[in-house]
Amino acid sequence: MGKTKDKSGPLARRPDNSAFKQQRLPAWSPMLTANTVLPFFYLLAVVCMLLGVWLLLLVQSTQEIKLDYTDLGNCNECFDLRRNVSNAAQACSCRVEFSIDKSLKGDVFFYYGLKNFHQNLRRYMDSRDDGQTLGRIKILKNPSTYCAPFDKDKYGVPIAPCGAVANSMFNDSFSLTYHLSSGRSVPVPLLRTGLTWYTDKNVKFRNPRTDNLTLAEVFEGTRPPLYWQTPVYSLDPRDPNNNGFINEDLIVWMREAAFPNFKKLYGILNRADPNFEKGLPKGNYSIDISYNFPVQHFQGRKGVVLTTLTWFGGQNHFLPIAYLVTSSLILLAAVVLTVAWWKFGKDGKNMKE
Amino acid sequence: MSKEDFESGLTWEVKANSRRYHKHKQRKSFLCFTRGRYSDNVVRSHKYSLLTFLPLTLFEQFQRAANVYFLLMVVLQCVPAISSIPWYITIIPLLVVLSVRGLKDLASDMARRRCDSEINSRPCDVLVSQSFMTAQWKDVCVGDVLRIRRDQIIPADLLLLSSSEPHSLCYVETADIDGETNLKYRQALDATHNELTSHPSEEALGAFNGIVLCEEPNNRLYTFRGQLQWQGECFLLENEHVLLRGTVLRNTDFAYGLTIYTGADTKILRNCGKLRVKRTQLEEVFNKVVIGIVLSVLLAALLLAIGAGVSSYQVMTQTSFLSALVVDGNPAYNGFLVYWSYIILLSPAMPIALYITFEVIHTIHSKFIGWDLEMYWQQTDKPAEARNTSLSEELGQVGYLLSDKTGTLTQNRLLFRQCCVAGQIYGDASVSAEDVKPMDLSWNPFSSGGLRMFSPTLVETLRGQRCPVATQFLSALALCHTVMAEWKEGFPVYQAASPDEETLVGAARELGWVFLSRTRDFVVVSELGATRQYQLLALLDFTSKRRRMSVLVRDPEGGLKLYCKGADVVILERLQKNCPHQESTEMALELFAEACLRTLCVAVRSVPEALWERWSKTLALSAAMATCERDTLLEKLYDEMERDLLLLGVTAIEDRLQEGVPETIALLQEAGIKVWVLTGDKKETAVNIGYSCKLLHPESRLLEWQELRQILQSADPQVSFFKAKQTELWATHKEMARAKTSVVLTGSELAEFEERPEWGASFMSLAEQCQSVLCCRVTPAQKAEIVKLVRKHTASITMSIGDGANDVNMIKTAHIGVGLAGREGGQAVHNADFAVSQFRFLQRLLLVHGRWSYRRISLFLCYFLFKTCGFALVHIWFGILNGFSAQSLYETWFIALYTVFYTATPVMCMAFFEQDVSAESSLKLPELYKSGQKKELSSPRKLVTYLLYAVYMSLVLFFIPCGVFYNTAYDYQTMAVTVSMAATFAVTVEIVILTKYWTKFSIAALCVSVVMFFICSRITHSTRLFQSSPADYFFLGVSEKAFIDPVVWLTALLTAWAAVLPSVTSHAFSVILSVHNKHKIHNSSPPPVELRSRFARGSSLRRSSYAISQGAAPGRLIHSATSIHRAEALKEEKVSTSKKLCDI
Repeated sequence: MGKTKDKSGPLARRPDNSAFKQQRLPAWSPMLTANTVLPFFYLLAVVCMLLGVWLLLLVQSTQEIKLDYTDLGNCNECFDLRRNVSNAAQACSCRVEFSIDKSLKGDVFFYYGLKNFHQNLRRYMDSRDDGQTLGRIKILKNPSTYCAPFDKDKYGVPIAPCGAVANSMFNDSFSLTYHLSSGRSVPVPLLRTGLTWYTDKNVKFRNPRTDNLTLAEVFEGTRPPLYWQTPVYSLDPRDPNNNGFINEDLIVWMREAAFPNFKKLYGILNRADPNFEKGLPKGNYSIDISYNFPVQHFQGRKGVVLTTLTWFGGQNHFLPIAYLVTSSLILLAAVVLTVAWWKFGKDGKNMKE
Repeated sequence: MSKEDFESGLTWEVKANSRRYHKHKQRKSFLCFTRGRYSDNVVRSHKYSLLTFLPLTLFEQFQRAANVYFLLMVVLQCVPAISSIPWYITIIPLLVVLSVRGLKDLASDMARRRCDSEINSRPCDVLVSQSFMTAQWKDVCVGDVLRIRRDQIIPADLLLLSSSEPHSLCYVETADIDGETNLKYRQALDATHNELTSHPSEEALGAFNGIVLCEEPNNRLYTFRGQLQWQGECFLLENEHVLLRGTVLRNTDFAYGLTIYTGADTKILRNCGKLRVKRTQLEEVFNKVVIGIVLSVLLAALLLAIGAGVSSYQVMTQTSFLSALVVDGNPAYNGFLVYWSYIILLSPAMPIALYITFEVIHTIHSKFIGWDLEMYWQQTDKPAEARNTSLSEELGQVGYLLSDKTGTLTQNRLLFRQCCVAGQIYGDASVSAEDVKPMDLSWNPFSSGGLRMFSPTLVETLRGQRCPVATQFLSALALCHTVMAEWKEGFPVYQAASPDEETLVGAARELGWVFLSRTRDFVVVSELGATRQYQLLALLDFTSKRRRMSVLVRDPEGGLKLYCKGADVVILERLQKNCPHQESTEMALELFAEACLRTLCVAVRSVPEALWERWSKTLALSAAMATCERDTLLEKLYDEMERDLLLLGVTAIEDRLQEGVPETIALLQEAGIKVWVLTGDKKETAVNIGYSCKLLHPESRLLEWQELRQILQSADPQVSFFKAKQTELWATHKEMARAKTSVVLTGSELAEFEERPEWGASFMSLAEQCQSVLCCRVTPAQKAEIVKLVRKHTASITMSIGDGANDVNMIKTAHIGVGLAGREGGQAVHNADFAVSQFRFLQRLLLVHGRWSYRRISLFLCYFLFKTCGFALVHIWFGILNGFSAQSLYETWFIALYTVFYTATPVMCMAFFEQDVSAESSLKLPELYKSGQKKELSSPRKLVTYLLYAVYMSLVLFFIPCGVFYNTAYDYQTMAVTVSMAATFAVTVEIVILTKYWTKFSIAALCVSVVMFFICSRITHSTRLFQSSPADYFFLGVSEKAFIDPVVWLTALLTAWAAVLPSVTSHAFSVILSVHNKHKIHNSSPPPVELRSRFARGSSLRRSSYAISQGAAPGRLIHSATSIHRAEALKEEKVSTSKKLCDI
C-alpha cells in the first residue's frame, strides 16, 4: 500500500493493471432462470398469504367498542350550545350509555376520536413553537412568528402554549361508569398518565425552570390560548405534576395526526382496581362527558373508542387484507409466468444444444 | 482602378514592408464592437480572463435551464410564507454544482490558454528595416516579409517571393491541412525570383514594395486569386505562389514570403469550424423529459393550488378558528401561495443531485477509457484519453463512422513487399512486415535497411547478373521517377512528390541500383557499385488520365531506352505482341491484388534512333503550339512512344494499414455501423485502401457520380436505384446487391450538393443501403459538410475519426470526434472528444466502453427519475387528504438525504460497474451493439414507462400506509417515517433488480445505504439535535418508536413490495422469455474474420493504382528541356495577359 509509482521511463503513462481500472472486478452475476424465478414467486405468494391470514386472526381476536357521541342522546343539547362560539365559557355536560356484550379482556384503552378534523394542514402543523414547549424561558414570552396569529393576543400578551395546534386542543373530558347488574355504579378508573411517548414527556415537552416559583408564577405575563378555559398550569387539577407543558393531554394533542380521521389516547384502564382486574366485564356502562369541543364548524364528528390491543394494535383490517390481496396478485403473476414459461421458455431449454 | 478591383473581387490589399499602414487597420475588438479589417496573428481559443471569469461562468451555467430552476427553488424556499422545505436543502447542492462546474471550465480554459500561448510564441524571422529579427508568431503582421527556414511551420498565409532553391522552388508538407504527407512544390513568380535573388536578399527584400490585391479571406484551400503590382507591372497570383499557415517547409533552406493573411484570416483557421458545445442525444431526450416533469409539476401544483383555494374558501365560510390561518383571509391569495409551496415540495422529483451524479458518472466512464490497458499504445506510451467527458454513452450508439484515410486507416508507410520479375514472384506478403527476416545486404554500401522483403534468390540473380530482365527491371525503378536526391552524411535521401515513387526508388537502392543524383539532363545511378550516367532525353509525365509515366534515356552505351511504369491495365494493353511472361505476370498481379498490395507494371522499350529523332522533332514543334491543342497533341505523341513495350515485371507495394484495421472495420460493420471514408487523397488511392481494409467488398460495385447523379435527378431515387442495380448482370440477388454497392464521390462532385440541398435526403437514403461511401479529394470544410449532411438526414449518432489538422473540422462537427494520437502535431487530438493511438482501439472504445456506458447511463437515468419522482409525487396524493395545504409527507431531512445518502450509492455503483456481458463477449457479439443504435434503453418511451411506474409507486407509497393508519392513533410523524422507509426499501429492491453485476462495491453500497437510512434517521431524530435546534429536528424520538413497531415494519415491507411488483414481474418475464438468447450470448463464438477472402478473377484489375500528389506531376519542373521551355512560355503568356489586364 502507499505505492509510490515511478512516473518516469518509457512506460510512465501506462495504466495500472488493477482489477478496478481494467473493469475486471470479481463480481457475481446471478444467472436467473425460470427455475429460480418461478419458485420465488410462489414462495412469496405463500409467505404473504400466511402473514395475511395470521394478521387477520389477530385482528379478529381484539375487541372494540365505538361510540359517536357528537349528538347522541342528551349530548344533542350541548352540541347545539357549542354551535355558537360565544357560549364557549358555558359548561355543558351530558351522558351517554352503552353496554358491553362480551367482556374486554386484558388492557383496555380509552380513545377519543375526531372525524374531519384536519390536523395535517401545513399552516396548522407549523403553528406551534417547539422551543416554547421545550421550556425555554426566553421563548416563553416571545413565541415564534410561526404561531401567528396565535402568538399574542390583541393586547400583545404572549400566549403560552402558542399556536393553532395548542389553541384547538380537544377539551372534552370523560368519566366512565360501570353499572353493575345490582344497580350499583362503580366509576371505572382510568390512568390519565403514561399515555405519551417517553421522549415527548421527558425531552420534547418541559416546563420552564421554576426556581422556587410556582408554575403559575412562571407563566405570569403570558395568557392561555384564546379557546382555553383554564390556563396551562392548571390543566389537571388532580395531579399537580401533570400540569404545564408536560400535561399529557396536551402532549397527546400536540402529536398531530396524519389524517383528518384519527384517534387519540385518553386513558388506560387501571387494572389495579379489583373490579377491573381482567379488563372490562360485560354489562352496562355510561360516560359522563364534559362537552366543550365544538365540531360543527368543521362538519366533524367525535366519539370514544374502547379497545383491547394485541402486539399488532387494535382492530385494523386493512393491513391483513392488503397482505391477502398482494398475495393473490403475486400468485396471479406466478401463474401467468408459469404459463409463459410453459409456452415459450421451454423452447429455450431445447436450444441449449 | 479600385473600382475594377472591387468588381473582380480582389479587395484585400497588402502593401509589402509597410507595417504601420496595416497596424493602423488591425482589427480591434472591445466587447462586441470590432473595428479594422486585418486580424492579428494571435490564436485565442480561451474564453475567460481574470475579470470575466465569474460573470461569464455564471452566465453560462445559468443558461442551463436546470440551474435556473434550482435557483428559483432556492429563492422560493427563502420566502417564509411558502417555504414548505427549508432553504438550505437546495442551496448547498446548488452551490456545489456551480463551483464544480466552474472549476472544471476554468481548468480547461487554462489548458487552452497554455496551448495558445505555446503557439503564439513560436519563433519566426521577420524583416525589420533590412535585417531579419526573430519575433514571435503573434507579432507577425500583414505586409511583413518573413524568412522561413527548413522544417519550420509557416506562421501565416504567405506569398512566396523567393527561395534558396533554383527557380525559387520550395517544397511544403501539407499534412496538417489535407492529410497528404508527400511534398508539394510551390514556386515564386519569375519576376520576384529574378529581382530578389540577384541582390543580397535582405536589402532587396527590404526594398520590395509590391502591392498585393487579392480575395477577401476565405476557406478555399486549393484556390487563390490575386495580383501583385510591382514596378509598374501586374502579375497574376495563383495557389502555386502561396504558402499556407500550418504547412511545413521541407527540403528548402530558406523561403521568403510576404504575409497576406494572418491569424483568423488564414485559410486553415477559416476552415476550422466554430467550437460547439456537444451534447449527447440521450441528454437531449433526458432534458426534454425533465422539462416534461417540470411542466407536469407546475400543472399538478396548479391543480393542487386550486384545490387549496377551494378548501380554504370552505374553511372561511365556517366560523372555525382555522379560518384565522388562511392568510389575509383571502382564499385566492392562499391558493397562490400554496401553488409555490407545492412547486417547492414537488421539486425533488427533479433533484439537483441528478446533475452532479450524472457528471461524476461521465467522469468515471472517461477515466475507465483512459485506464484501459487494451487501449494503451506502448510504442508511444499513450493511453486512450477522453477529452470530453460528457459523451461516453454516445459511444454506444454510433451509427455512422466517418474516417479519415491517411494516418488513420493507413500507417502512411509504404513498403515494397513483393515483385514479379520475368514471371517469377519474389518475396512473400503473407508474412507480416514485422516478421520479415532482414536480408543480408551488407555488400551494398548504400543499403540502410528498411526493405521488408525476403528474397535471397532475387539478390543472387541480380548480383550474378544472371537475368537481364531483372537488371532492366531494377534500372527502370532507379530511372523512371521524379524523385530528387539529397545527400546527407554520405547517403542519398530521397524526396518525392509521391510516396509510391519514394518507396520504389528506395527499394531499388536496397537491391543495389542506387539513384544518386539528377541534373537537368542526366540521371546518375550506381548499379551494383558501378556508377553510370544516363542522359535524360524526355520525361513523359504522369497524369491521372494516362495513369503511367515514362522516361526516355540514353544509356552510357548509347542505346535509347524508354522505361515505363504504370497501372496494369494501361501497361498490359501497350505490350508487344507475344510478350514473354505475360501470362505468369498476370497471375502474379492477381496474387498481389489478393494480398491487397498496390501494384505497378514496369516495362521497357528499346527505341530506334530514327524513331527518336522523328519523335523529338514533333515534340519540339508541338510544345511550341497553343495551349489546348498542345496538350492533346502531346498526349498523342506520348502514346506513340509508349508502345510495343516489353514487360519487365510488377512491383507490389503495401500501403500499410494500421494494425487490425480490416478486422475493426468488419467488426464495426457487423455491429451495424456504417463506415465512410473521407479523404483528401485521390480516388484511386482511396478505392485501393477501401479494398484492402475490407471496407469495399471485392465484388462490390462502385456507384460513381455520373450514375448517382442520374439516380438523384430521377423522380424517385429509390426506384431508380433499384433499377440501376437490377440492370447489373451480376446482381441476381437483390439482397446481395444491396450490401455490395458502394458510393465513390470526389470533392468537386460533392460541391454540387451544396447547390442542390434537396438531394441530401435522397442521397442519404441511398447511402443507407450501400455498404459504404468513399469521398475523395475533399477539403476539410467539405468533410464537415458531409458530416453535417449525415447528421441532418439521419437520426443516428455520427463519429468522426482523424489524425491531422485537416480532420479538425469534421471532428468538431460530428457528434463524437475521435483524434488519432499517432503522429506529431496533434491538432486533431486537441479538438477531439476522444483520443486513441490506434484505429483498432475503436473496437473497444465503441463495442465495450461505449456499449457499457450507454447501458449504464440509460439505466441510471431511468432509475434516477423513477426513484425521485416516485418519492416526490407522494405529496400530490397526500394533498387530497390534507386540504391541499402543501404539507410535506416527509421529514425535511429525509428529503435532503434521500437522494444523497439513502439511494445514491447503489445506483452509482451500477453506473460504474454494471456489465451485462463481459468485454470479450461484447467484442465477440457485435450485434449486441445494435440495441444502442436503436436507442432501446433510452427511448422517450422507455423513460415515460419509467415515469408511469414512478407514478404507480407514489400511489402505492401513499395509499397503503394511508389505509393502515387512517382513523388510528398513529400520528403524522410515524406515518412519515413509514412512508420514508417504504420508499427506501422499494427503490433499493428496484436497484437490486436492475443490477446484474455485483461487485463487492455494489454490495457494500447497497448495504451501507440501507443502514444509512436507519442510522441517519436515528441521528436526526435524536435528543441532542432537537435540543440544539427544536425547529429543525422536530421529529424527536419518532424513529426510536417506529423502528420497533411491527405495524410500521409490516406496512413498510408490504408497501415496498407492492411498489416494485410490476417491475419484478416484468423482469421475471424477460428472464423466462430470454432463456435461449442468453445461451446464445454465452456460448456462441462466431468464426474469426476472414482476412484474405478469395475472390473471382477479373476483379483484380481494379486494384492497380498509382498514387501521386495532387495536381499535375512535377515532372515538367524537373526536366527535359522541352518542358522547361514550355513552362517558360507559359509564364510569358501569363505575364502578357496580366499586363493587358493591368493596362485596362
